Amino acid sequence: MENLEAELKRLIIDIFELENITPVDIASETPLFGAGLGLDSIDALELGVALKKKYNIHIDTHSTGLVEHFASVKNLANFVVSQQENKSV
Amino acid sequence: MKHPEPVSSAACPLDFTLKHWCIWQSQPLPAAVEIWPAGQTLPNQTDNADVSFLPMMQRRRLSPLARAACAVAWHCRLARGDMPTVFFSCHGESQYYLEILSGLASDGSVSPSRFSLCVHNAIGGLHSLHSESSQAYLSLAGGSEGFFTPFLEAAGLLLEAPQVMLVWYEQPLPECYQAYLALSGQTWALAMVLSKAGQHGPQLNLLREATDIPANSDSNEADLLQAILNNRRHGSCRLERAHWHWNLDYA
Repeated sequence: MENLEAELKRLIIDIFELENITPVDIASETPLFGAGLGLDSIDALELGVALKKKYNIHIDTHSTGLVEHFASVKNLANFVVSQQENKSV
Repeated sequence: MKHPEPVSSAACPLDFTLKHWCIWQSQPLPAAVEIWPAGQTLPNQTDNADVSFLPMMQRRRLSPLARAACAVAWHCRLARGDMPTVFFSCHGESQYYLEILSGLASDGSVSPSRFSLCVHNAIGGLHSLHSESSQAYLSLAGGSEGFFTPFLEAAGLLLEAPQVMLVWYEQPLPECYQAYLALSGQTWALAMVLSKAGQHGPQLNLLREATDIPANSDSNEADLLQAILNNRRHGSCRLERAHWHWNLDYA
């Protein structure tokens, strides 16, 4: 899980072109949106596209839990793992 | 008012006072010691215009073209305050929309942020957000009046506002389009603050003459940019439907 979290942090830095920020600067529990890292709604869409492309997972945009899944790197990692497990069942 | 040619019934004069201007271009600036008065060129030691005046979370969305446009607009606004602004580019974020079209053609994926940033008014919108401005912002694309279109809009806006800012910006087209259009091979942006004619400052006089004679191959819409950087004070440009003359008068 730690490796996946590190991978997600790198992905976030790359796709959002966050200057002068390294993966160690992003705590796994830091909120990604609003007062935390400061990402916005367009970033959420961009992140969804990137996750779909990199991990080949399905994201249900009507899911009530989506806000929680995208809240932090830790939650995202759990979400990616759960989606991959669902596919393999 | 000193127009370079007699005014005929088919001619439309547009006269302004040039309050300030600012240029950034990716190519090295000419070594000429004299440039137009009342303005500034921004340093271009790097490939992108310096937008360090913005917080990182605002900078990150700016393309090289948007950085150039926002930088010149920002410096003119610093010099002259907030005002209605006209943004103009013939082709805008051509690198982004080609990338989106290519993505659609290959795997159907579209970057949401790239899409939001390649619409023609995105750069003007970003600048208004950065500036926390509630003034009128317009974004114009190319047309038969080309580079001179914003002057027509400025003349209208000046009926209601004491000053207006015009921002031109262009970048090289993606390679696959270059065979169809000859544009400048560099990224550049120019901002001008104009007020009504007859106020303190250099007087910028333009004259539009309607013509049916098609443009010749020497027409160069970016000629005014080079004139500013070389302190040339008059010129003309023949476009599809009009012949434009311009002249800068100052003591």
